[in-house]
Amino acid sequence: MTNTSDSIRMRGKLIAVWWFPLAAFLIFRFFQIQVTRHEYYFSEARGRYTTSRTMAGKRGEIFDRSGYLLVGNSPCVEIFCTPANLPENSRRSVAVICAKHFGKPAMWYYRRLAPVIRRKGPDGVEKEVRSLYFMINRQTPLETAEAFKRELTRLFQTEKERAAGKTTARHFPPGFIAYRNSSYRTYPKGRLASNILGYINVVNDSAVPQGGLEKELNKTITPEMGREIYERTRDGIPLDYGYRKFSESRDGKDVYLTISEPVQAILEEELDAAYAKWRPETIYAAIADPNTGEILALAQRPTFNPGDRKTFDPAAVRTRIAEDSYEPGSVIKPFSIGKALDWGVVTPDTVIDCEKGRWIYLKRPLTDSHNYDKLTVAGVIQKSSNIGTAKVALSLGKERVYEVLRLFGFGEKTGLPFPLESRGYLPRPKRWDGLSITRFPIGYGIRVSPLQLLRAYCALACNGDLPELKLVDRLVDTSTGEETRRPVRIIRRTFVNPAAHRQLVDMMVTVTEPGGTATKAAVPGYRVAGKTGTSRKYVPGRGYSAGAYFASFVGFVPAYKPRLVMLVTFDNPKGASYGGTIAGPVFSRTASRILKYWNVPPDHIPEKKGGPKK
Amino acid sequence: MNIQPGRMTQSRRTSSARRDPDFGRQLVRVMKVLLFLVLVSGVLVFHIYMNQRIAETENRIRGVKQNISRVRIEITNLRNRREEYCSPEVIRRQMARFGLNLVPAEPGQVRRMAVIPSWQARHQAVLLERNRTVVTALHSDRPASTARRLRRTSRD
Repeated sequence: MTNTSDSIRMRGKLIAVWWFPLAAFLIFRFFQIQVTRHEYYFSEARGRYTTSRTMAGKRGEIFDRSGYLLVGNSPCVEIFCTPANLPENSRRSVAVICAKHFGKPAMWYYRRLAPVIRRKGPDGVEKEVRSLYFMINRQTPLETAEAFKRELTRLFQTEKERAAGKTTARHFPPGFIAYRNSSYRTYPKGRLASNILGYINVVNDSAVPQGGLEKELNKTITPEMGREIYERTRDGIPLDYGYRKFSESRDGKDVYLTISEPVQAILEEELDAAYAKWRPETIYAAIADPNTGEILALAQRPTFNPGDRKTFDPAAVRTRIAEDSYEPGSVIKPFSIGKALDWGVVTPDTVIDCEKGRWIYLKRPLTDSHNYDKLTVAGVIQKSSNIGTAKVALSLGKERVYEVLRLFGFGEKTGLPFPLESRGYLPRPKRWDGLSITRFPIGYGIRVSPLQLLRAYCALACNGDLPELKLVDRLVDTSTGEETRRPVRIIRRTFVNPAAHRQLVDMMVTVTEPGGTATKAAVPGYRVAGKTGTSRKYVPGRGYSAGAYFASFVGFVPAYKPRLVMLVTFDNPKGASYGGTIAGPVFSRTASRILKYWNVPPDHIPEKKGGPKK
Repeated sequence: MNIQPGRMTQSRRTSSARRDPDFGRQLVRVMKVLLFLVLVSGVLVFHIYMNQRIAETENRIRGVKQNISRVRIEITNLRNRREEYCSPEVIRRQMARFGLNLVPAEPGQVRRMAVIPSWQARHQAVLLERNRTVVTALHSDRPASTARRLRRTSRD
């Protein structure tokens, strides 16, 4: 009896000796798992049964001032897969289905659907790795994506499932294919304003804007990605009542430009005709509302269609109207003469000796296109005399000439959203040589951008108030409906004496009247104030070219109550060289059509030949 | 008919009488447990039922959301197509195709007309009628100036 109880006690002790450390270890381990390393194991476990998906917002769209779409988004589906998860016996059939729907040869898909691919490692040695990602098709229309999905599902369905008309397949390879709702950029207006708008390239599945407003306003129009983290079943289906964390995606802001689509269309149509006729290297044209500084149209030739990449000419893609600068020629004359009137240095009737078209100053000749003898200041503008303008500038002095050009905004950026915008070239007076004072006021030796000229003419059109140019009218947050608008701003007043301004406009009106240099720029029914410009093109290393010119016309209409300021510049036109001959008619036709479109009443009845004078 | 002997019947009666309070207490206890189990299972069934309903509703919501997004996509596609058809290039091409000799209207040739609902039209007619009466009265005083003023008003 004693023996038995002893042995039982012994066994109990043995069990206690074995079990106690085991229990202690277990308790310690439980403590470690549940308390000390709880976070780690919990996150590990969550990683197994939770998954996440990103939701892309909509990239902001670009509209004209009236809400006509210029750049939009077209919904599409991105289809991508993990080839490593595709059974080898189905590879050929899947490749055939892909080829049927997306156009590329079946062999192309077959190669890319290989479960293992050879890839060079960082050490330069090729290794076989599991193929985890292949984009089958990016911009897939919704209908095509659905048809593809149906056919692919059918491939993996059993006869029974097919007969039952099921839309799922039990034996569909898990984790093989994924569909992601996306959108691609559309340009419904084709070439219209394409240089201003820019375009998008897709690099490594992300949108990379290339030039224009797409690039400049990228931060504003780029959407914020949303993310959803959720618990899922083994098949990846979200559990409705499981853990869920959701951060909403945010659409990019919509941009409304000051550009008016019909005005832009009229301008571009006229530019196309002129481009075909004069075959220049480039044409720059811009229209602005002088009262507000809003850009109504901005065009250049050659141009491109962002929706048609096959016909892309890289030279045509740049926003040259903002990035280029050139010697403007006579279009710059009204500024020095206008301020000479304003400061009372000359009057419209002051007579200037134009030296019969050839004047030697500092041993260098300065010529006029015609042999004018004596001209009034008004005549200097009307006939575009270089000698007359140079003499007025000499009476101003170089400091004041520099001040005038700076006052009208030359040598500084206009502030439009183009980072590569040219500042032009206007050196400080201490860097001028002796001839500069006679060359700068006639548009030689300095460089200006078309936008600078346009803004300066806005000041001439609108009582001398230099406006801030505006291309973006408003930004609209689509989710909140909040609008951000930049107010109209006048940078500075350029004229002190309103009478002098009026006199200058009177002179500029004579330019388009009989006897002026731009009779072809006249618009029937309206008084046009403007100025022609023809400058020889400077070729680096060879000096001024004998046969290459910049031909320009810049003006505003109606002259005394301007609705628009327009600039037209031809770079190296063939067959003619004068701004009045080449750019003038483009101005006339475009302005006439736009004024009719706007229903602007005529301000002037043209005199009939032989009829009674008005 | 009772065929058992009287002693046995008596003894059984005695024992059942002795056990009665215990049995009742146990029965109550069992009933309580059963009730508790019924309650728990009821709550569980209700919970499952509610989860099912939630899942169904969420499925339906998901379906509706999918429909909404499909309709939105269609709207976007239609809008894009409309904008393409309205583009100046397309219009120009169509004009050339159908030989439409369209010319821009002269200023003043096109007038804008407001389309107003019938009740507003009636109201305006009444106002006009009232004005005409006033104008007739004024007209009798100073014919020339009133006529001028009237013309200006009607043009505005």
